[in-house]
Order: sequence, then structure tokens, then C-alpha cells
Amino acid sequence: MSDSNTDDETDDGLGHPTRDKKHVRALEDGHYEDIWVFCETQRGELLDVSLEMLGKARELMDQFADDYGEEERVVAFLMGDDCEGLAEECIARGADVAVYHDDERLERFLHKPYTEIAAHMARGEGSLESTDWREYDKPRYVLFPATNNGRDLSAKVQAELDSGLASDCSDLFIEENEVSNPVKTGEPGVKKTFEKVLHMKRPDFSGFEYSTILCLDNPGREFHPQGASVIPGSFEPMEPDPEREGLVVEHEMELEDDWFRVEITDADRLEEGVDLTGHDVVVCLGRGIADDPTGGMELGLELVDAFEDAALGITRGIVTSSYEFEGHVEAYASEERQIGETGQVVAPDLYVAAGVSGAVQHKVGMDESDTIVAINTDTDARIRDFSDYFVEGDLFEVLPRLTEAVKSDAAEIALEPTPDAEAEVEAGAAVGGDEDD
Amino acid sequence: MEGTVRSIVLTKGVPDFSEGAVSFDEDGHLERGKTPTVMNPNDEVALRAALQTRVRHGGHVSGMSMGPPGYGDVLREAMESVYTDDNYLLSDRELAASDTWATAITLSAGLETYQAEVGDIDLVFAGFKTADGETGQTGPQTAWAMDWPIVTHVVALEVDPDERRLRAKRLVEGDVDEIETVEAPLPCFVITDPEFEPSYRQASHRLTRKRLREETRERAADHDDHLTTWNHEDLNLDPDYIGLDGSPTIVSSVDPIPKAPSEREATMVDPTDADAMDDVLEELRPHAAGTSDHATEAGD
Amino acid sequence: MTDETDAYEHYEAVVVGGGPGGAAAAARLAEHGVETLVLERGTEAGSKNVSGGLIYAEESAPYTIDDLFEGFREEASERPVTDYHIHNVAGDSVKSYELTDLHEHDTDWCDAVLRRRMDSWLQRRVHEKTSETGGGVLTGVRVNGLLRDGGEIVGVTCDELEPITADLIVAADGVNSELARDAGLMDWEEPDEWFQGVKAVVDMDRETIDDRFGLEGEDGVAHLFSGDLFEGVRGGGFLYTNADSLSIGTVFHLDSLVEERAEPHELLDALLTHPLLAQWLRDDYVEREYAAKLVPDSKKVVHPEPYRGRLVLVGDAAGQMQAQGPIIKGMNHAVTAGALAADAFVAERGSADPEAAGRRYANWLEESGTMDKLRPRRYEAVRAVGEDDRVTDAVERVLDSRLGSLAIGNPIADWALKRAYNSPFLISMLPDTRTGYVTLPTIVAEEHGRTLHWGSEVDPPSLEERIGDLTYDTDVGNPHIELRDQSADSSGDAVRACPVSAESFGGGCYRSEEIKRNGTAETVVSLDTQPCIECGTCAIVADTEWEHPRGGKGVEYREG
Repeated sequence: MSDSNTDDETDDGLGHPTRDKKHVRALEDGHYEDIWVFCETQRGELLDVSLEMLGKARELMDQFADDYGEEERVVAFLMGDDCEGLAEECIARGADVAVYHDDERLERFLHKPYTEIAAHMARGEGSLESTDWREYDKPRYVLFPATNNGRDLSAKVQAELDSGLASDCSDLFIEENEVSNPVKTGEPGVKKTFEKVLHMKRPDFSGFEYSTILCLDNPGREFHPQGASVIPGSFEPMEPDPEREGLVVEHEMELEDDWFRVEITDADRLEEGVDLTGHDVVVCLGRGIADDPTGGMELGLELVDAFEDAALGITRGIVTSSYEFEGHVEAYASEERQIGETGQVVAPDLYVAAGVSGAVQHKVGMDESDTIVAINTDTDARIRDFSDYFVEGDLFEVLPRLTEAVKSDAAEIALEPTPDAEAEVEAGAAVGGDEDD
Repeated sequence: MEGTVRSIVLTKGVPDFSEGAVSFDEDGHLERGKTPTVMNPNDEVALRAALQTRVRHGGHVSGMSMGPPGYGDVLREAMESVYTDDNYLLSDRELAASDTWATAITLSAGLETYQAEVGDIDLVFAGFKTADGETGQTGPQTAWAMDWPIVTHVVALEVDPDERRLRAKRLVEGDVDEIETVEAPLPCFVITDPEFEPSYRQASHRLTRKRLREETRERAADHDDHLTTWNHEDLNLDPDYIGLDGSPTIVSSVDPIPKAPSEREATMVDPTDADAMDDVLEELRPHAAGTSDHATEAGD
Repeated sequence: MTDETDAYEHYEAVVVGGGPGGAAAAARLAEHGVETLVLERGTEAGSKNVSGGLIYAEESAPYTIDDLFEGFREEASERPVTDYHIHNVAGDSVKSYELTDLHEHDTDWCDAVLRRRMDSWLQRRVHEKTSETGGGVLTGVRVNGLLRDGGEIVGVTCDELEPITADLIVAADGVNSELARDAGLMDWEEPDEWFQGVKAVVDMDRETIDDRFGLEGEDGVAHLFSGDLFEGVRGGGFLYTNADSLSIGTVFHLDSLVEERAEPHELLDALLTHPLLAQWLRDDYVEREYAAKLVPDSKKVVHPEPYRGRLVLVGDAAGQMQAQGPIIKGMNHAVTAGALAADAFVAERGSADPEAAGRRYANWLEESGTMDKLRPRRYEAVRAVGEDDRVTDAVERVLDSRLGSLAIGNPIADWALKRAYNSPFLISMLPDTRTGYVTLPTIVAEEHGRTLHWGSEVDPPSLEERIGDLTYDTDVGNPHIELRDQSADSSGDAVRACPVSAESFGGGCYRSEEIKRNGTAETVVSLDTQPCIECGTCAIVADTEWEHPRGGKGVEYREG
């Protein structure tokens, strides 16, 4: 191993040091192992996305072992004011090693100390006791959550480690890649195969394209760890296994006062509004419920419950109506559930619009949905123009039938496989089993 | 002048993804050549934050961008649409195909050159994420390269030039969303969140803003007089460490993402017709409780 | 002043509202070297403003708009109107009179205008002038009330800015003036004190206009309509030619609108689809914008003492809108009032009495003859008997009788009628009853009119389409009108009288809906302020808490 960031090398021999050299901290002939996962915490708990990344990392490294016959580890790293318990939780969630740093000043994310600590950990610096579990220069891969703080940290840690990063990834896999780019091969016209490359897929160009990003060594300047930040919700967490064994390591490092020049003086939780986005299904009710507003709302909620991941929305017509809802459904009639121009814009896989006439203002809030099913007695209702299915009927009759069908289908799929729905059945049954736990 | 603030706003040119402007080939790939380049939409927010500081405290705002010579138009757009006093373009063939880290190193060289040749910087503003790369990395990495403090996801900003400190409110995203109040010393990087809103509660500030907006629009008409272009030699950069050569990452492949249909033709369904209703139920079934994302994918 | 108000920003004068009244006041103040801040709630002056569309320069007026703003006619107005007709309609029968003599009485010039273009032009001029004396125009700022110190008015409070103190506050904030109401100088109680105007701006290129209206050169034309077009609702219609559009609208007494349970947009449609207009509109009707506005009836509400402390009211805010029969004059009086208020402030600059400027302003309104135009003494005398229902009914019976019809139907009566219509003296005496607006014109048309033997191909947009074509920046979660009483008795009239609501239409501001409560059904009124066009009608006919939206929010007129 040789570190190219030495003072005498910042002079390139041209008689003046160039401004880029001081940032070159990469290695040559370095040794890299393991996948590191930054487990972000909030208010003393691991974020969901931290668990999701651990689940994905576990899956990747199990596959890695199968593919290459080498066992490499999942290493969780985290910091805060009291992380030991969380580090143990990381083990239960798929990590082999969990490295943590506790300091009361680290209760909330701060760019400078978090980056310094993360880079310090990754380089294996610190006391012998806290680093003797590893024998490599830097991690092979590293994952960060694509949250506001996680993105910032990922960018800075990778900068400090002089490596690359693909942000906001939604899919990851490891395989070889043949490259002809002379910058990477060192020679024009020569192809070179890189082994064990993390392929990082991310939506790009304002969501118009998927790009696959690779972080590859240059000859003489090796870009490791290969880094990615991961969109929350992209992967499944592992079920916690308290029996899992792993190593919990407390990291040691002196934190300089100067690193705390940015101070957090206050933090307020934002009022939690209703978020209708990000669900697979949205059931929206319109003024078609007028005859029995409370009853209509109940029917909508029952259908929502029949789905795995659905939310209830309403039209502006309901928000501004004088309907008198009974107490138990009244909360669902508030503006925070409104879909449309002045409300939320949703694009679920399935949108069920019951008794919605389909004003233009409503359309802009939902017409990016994959499939739109309208239920309406009025075949002239404007929503017909932007629906895939138009069920010509009274929502008070149609909704209960849909609910019943969805419920019984779920039961049927889980319990009574039929030949024509085999693929679904297997998958459904497998996960259905998990759900029963 | 005492009490004034010198700011740099980092901007980038991106393909205009708005409807009617953006062009795709038959395979659904973006056609860069046929799609006009515009200023990254989020950079407007950063410019507005810089203008707020300029209005309240006076001083100077410079726009800075890295890109081909045509990006002068992007800087002109920054001057015209919001505000800059002058603009700096870092432009050189050697800078082509930079990834975020190579870009950050180049921008930091631009800031250092500016400090050496123009004046000491108090604040560097940048927007959150570009519309093309959407990485959100360049701002933090440039701050890291400068070893300056950074405050990201800023939704409100107050600067105290005499105390040489700023106070910002920033949005923290997590399992619950939070607003942090943060204080930092100058010089400092400020990355604005798209939710950032400048605040002008004084009539005199609004009148000043209005005057500055008129002036900057007039200035933009003669943009070339206010644009300085620096190449890698001006910036004192070694070609082996910038551009493609200095970039850890490469894009290995690009696949179009299928878009939802824009035109729909509704299939009329009679709820008493069991077969017709079954087509509808077919759409509902994969989402039934007890199935999950994973199951749905496998089923596909 | 106390320490607290001392800490606020101070301007010598604050003008609230960027219409012609505010513009005139600000321009005069700046000319006198007064540091003047103009606050306009729209995104641009004119974006909240609607008028029928004629601005007059009167020979007798102390100020006209082109005195104050050089180039106004060339750059801000649409086209001069030199030709003026009134059409009395009964079914397909129409009797038309030329009204040019009346139109030209005391008139130096008269131009058709569209308010977005006009007011935004004024805004630029005002900003230039006021910038030179340390002030300027700010848009998107809603002044929401008066700042008081120990009960004394010392400034204004705003949604968007910290409070501002001033030595003079000019409330030129329009017909729904929040400042006049805050000061207790205006209320929203009586529908009979108001008119409601509804207007469509119709797209038509210059060549087509000239061709269809037989126009040559610069000059344009105005047409007025009265008779049985409007279901017996007291009011009339108008059509003015603009540069490349037409302004077509209707103006009704609000009390009559409510009484007859009429839908304003339907009355407008009745005019638009009348065969008389078919000759002009033909089969290519394209509506650019639907708009509405309340009009104060100055005869009843013009404020004789439009000031309180440092506050002065000008224009609609002071009820300074002259609407009598076919004459509709508002903007010119607002210009006069604004300029006089500014002059009065300068004349009393340095006076220890904060109310001195206001008092002088009121005196000058009287002395200049402005008040007499707004509230003619002749009208006062006639009104007492003229608007008594029993008198109206008696007159109606005579007119309905064969004798009456004969009388009006003879050739001498025809000549006399034309003369009468053209007499400003007689017109100013015309009582506001069904007789003047409906019965008389109907009989005139029946007896003297020619019959139109063609139909109309005009198909006006639905209310839903009209709302859909308007531009809004909705203040989500912050509705500016609150319905205090949902009962049909208190607020049901709004469902019909609101120009963007209708009994048969669920997508407007006001809806009536039946709710079932413990087995009994009850009709209640609900409100959605999103489609609101801020006319103020519901503030009068329904039980509401009415405010303007915050600065820049709500409807944005492109034509106005």
C-alpha cells in the first residue's frame, strides 16, 4: 500500500503545486473487504432505511459467498450519543460487525465530526483493540441512506476517502464488468474486466431514465469503497434474529472542538400531516357519498383495509361540503387528505375513484397513476375520460363487492392455490407466512 | 465595506425536462442535442437565497458554473431571472465528463482562484440536486474540498455579517421530519432546500429587491461584459486529475423508465356482469392484504 | 407615538391599492416630493381589477388621468369611444337610440380600457415617480387593517410585511375596502346600495371588429341594452369595442338580483345569445375571460366625509361610483379624488391636526362639484317618491295600459324619448325602479322597435368552463371567506347571486345541499373559496366573515 497524498507529491514537478493534488488520497494496490452500511438514527432509533440496507447488504454478501467462495462481512457503522444497543440491533438485523462511536455531542447529525469519524472508521484507524478484527485498508463497498443527512454524509465521506458514489439508488447487485474506457484500463483499445463490481441502478434525468453507475479504480488511483446511497423503501429489512452472532466494536477517536463549529440550537418535529403518496393503492371518495356520507366513508375505509398498502383520499368537494360525518370517520374528511391541484398529487399503482366526478383540478392530482378504476352512476362524469375502467354503478353497492372480492382473493391465494395463478400463489404464500409471525 | 456579504452561487446547466422542450429518441433515451440547456431549476432557489442576503446586507453576488462555453447562457439566465452582479465560467475541454468528485475539486479550485483574484467569499450557495444527475453530492463535496462548514437543506436563512455568523433553519428528513435551527461561522456553504422561501418583511427591503431585479435584468442584456471564463491553467489544475481522468465513477448503461400512459380509454363495466367485473378485480388482486411488494414483483 | 410604533418602518404616505385612485394619489404625492409607498395586493396592479370598461375625462373635472399620466391614452387604453347607442329590447323586437349627446356631455374624451393593461401601465409610471422620492410600488402585499396607537390611526398592518406607520394613509383598496370598514366608514349591510356587474371579454381581432361594427379609423363604439332581456331584474347590459376584443357585460341592482332569484351568468348569457348581438358575435364567439365586480351606488353610499384621522378614502372605497341609468362613471372620479387627497395632504403638511388633510380633501370634493355628480341633489328629491313601491306600481299600471303604450308609441313620444335619454338632467332624476330599467324600454321596443328575424349562434361557455379558464393561486388551507351561518335562510341567496355559483352547479363557491340529520332532511349552504373571484357579493347577501386573500393569492385577471 502506498498513500499518494504526501506533501512532496503535491508538487507535480511543473514548478507549481496544482489545486487538485491535495484531494488525492486514494491508494495504489490497496486491500479492500466487506460491505459497510451507515445506519442512520433518529431520536434514539434506527431509521427504517437503515434496516432495509442491512437486509440488502446481507443478501448481497450471502450471494457474494456463493459466487466467489469467500466470506466477506456486513459491517454496520453508526454514531450518536448512546448507540451500543442500536449496534446490537444491527447484528440482529443482518450485520456481522457493528462499529459505533458514542459522544454526547453526536446526538444529532453534524457534517464535520460525522464525516471525520466515518472516514476514520473506514480506514481502520484508532486503537489496536478497536481495529484488530479487520485486516484491510478500506471497505470494498459502502451504503448510505438517501435521506437528507445520509446523502450529505455519503458525499463527504466518499470525498474524504477519495472515491466515488452513486446516489439515490433503487437496485444493487454485484458482478463483473468488462470496460474499454482507457481512463480505467490504462491503455486505449484494451479491454479490462473488473471483478466484484457493485452495480448501482438509479433513476436519473428527472426520472426519465435508469442509469447503472460503476465506481472503478484508475490505474494508480483506486476508488474504494464503491459507494451508494439508497432510496428508503427500496429493499426489504431482514426479520430480526436475536440469536444472530456478531461483533460489536466501540470506536475510539479524539474529536476536535473545531469540528463542532456548526451548532444545532433547536430541533422541532414537523407536524405530521397525512401522506397519501408512496402507497400502492389509493382509494378516493367524491361527492357520490352524499346520500350517506358516514356510510360511504366506512365503505371506502373497508376497501383500504383489504389492501396491503393503501390510503384513503377525498376530493375537494368533500372537504368543502357540509356533510355531517359521525365522529369515527370525521377525521378522514379533512383537507389533509385532499387529492388534486390544491391537495396532494399521487401516482399509485392502482387508483380507485368512487363517486368522483373528475374535475380538472382533481385530474392533475392522480392521472399519473398506473391504473385508474372509476365507480360512478353518471356515465357523463368527466372522470370517464381519464379512467382505465369505468364501473357504471352505485358506490354503495360496488365498493362492498370489491372489498369482499379482494379479501377473499387474498385468502384464496394464500390457502388454496389454483393452477392458473401459480406464480402469484407461491410468492403470496411465502410472504403470507411471514406476515403470520 | 463593513457589514456587507460576498456570495457565490454555484449553478449548472441541465437539459430542459419540461414538456415540449425535452426530446427522446426511439429507444426512449434523452437526445441531448435536441433538448435545450437551461439553468438547473433548483439553482433558482439558491440564487434567491443569495439575493435575499444581498438585499438585506448589501455586498456582491457572483454566479459560478462549470461547463462548456455555451453554459455562459446558463449564467446569463441566472443573472436575468434572479440576480448576480457578475459571473464566472470554468470551461475547458479537460473538464469534460467530470463526475461529482472531479466537479467538486474543479469548483473548489474556482472558488480559490476567485478568492485570490477577486475577493474573500463569505457564503457559497448551491441548489439541492440537479435535474439531470440528481446526485445532491457536488455541494457537500465542494465544501469538503474547501474545508468550510456547510449547512444543507436550508429553508430559511439569516446572516449576521458583523458577527460573521449565520443562522439557518434546515429540513431533516427521516422517519419523522424535523426542522433544525443551526448556527455556523462564515465563510460557509449554504445548500438550499427546494422549500426555501426568502422572507422580506420590510417594505424597504422589497423596494431594494425590486430595484436590484431591474438592474440585473438590464445587466444581463450585456452579459458578455460581466462574464469571466477560466480554463484549467487559470485554475491551476492538472488535467490528469480532473474531468474524466479524475472521476471515480462511470455510467455503464442507461435504460428508459416506462411512463404511465397519458391517454386512457375507459373500459365500461357493468357491475352485474361477473366477467367484466373480473377484469377489474384482476387489477385489484395483486394488492390484496397478505401479498406484498415482493410478492407482486415475483408475480410479474 | 409610543416606542413600539416608533420601531416600525415609516413613510410619509402609504397608498393602499394600485387602481386609478391610488395611482392618481401616489403620482400627485410624488410630484409634491412626498415619500410615498404604494401597496397593491395583486401580483401586478390590474390583476384584481374589473370594470365595465369606459374611462371618462370630464371637462369640468379638476384632474383627468391623462393630466397626471402623459401618454395614458396612447399606451394604456384600448380605443376611444365616440359613438353611443342604447337598445330597448322586447323579445325579438328592438328599438335603438343614439345616445351620443349624453355621452359627450361634459366629456373631453372617453376611452374603452381593460384593467390589467391599464393598471399595470399605471403601476410602472407610479413606481417611476414614487421611486424618485424614496418610495415605490410593492405588489403582492395585502394591507389587512389599520395600525392604531392609543386609538389613533397611525399606519397599516399587512399580511406580508411588518406594520408601517405613515402621516397619510390613502385607502384606495376598492369596493370591498377593508380599511374603510376597519375605520367604520363603510358597511356591507344593504343589497340595495350595490350593483353587481358581470363581464365577458370576447376575443375579436381589430379588422373583424371594424368590419362588424362599421368602424373606421381609431374611434370605437359603445352599445347599451335594456328591456326584458333579463327576467325583470333591474339593470342593463353594455358592449364596448376594445383594440382586439369586446367587453360585454351586465349590471344589476343587487337587491333585485336577489329578489328575482336570478343567476348572474345566465343573465349575461341572455345578452350574449340575443339575436341583436348575433350580428356582431356571429358564429365565432371566443370568450377570453369572465369577471365580476360589485359597484357601489354612489347616490346611496358615497361618503360625504371620507376620512378619519390620517386616513382618507378614494374611489370605490369611498363609494365614489356614479351609476345612474346608462351612465357608469367611476374611474374618473377616483382619479379626481386621489389627486385632491394628495393635494390636500400637501396643503396641510405640518399641521398639528392629523385630520386636517382629510377635512380639506372632503371640502375640495364638494367645491370641485364632484360630490354633486356622485349624489345629485335632484335625485335626493325625486327618490323619496320615485322609489316608493306604490308609486312604481302606479306608473307601471299606466304604462301597461293601452293609454300608456299609445302615449309612448306615438312619433312625438319617440322624439321626446330620444331627447330624454340624452338629457343628463332627466337621467340624473331617473329613479332606480323597474320602470326605468325594464318596463319603459320594453314598451318602447314593442311600440317602436324593429323585429329581428334571425337567431343567435353564440354558445357561451358554461360556468365550469369559465372558472376553469381563470387563473388562480389558491391559498391552500387559508380560505379568505368564512361562512358564519350555513342556513339557507341566512346564506342561501349566495348560491344564486354569487357569479361563480349556481343552483344547478356544484363546482362553484356556494352550493346548497341536503343533509340528513336524525331522519330529517335540511338544506344548508356550503362554501369553497377556491373559485372565488373576489367580487364581494356574498359579503352582502350571505352571513360571512369576508376578507381579501393574502397578497398575490386568489384569482388573477388577465384582462380585467
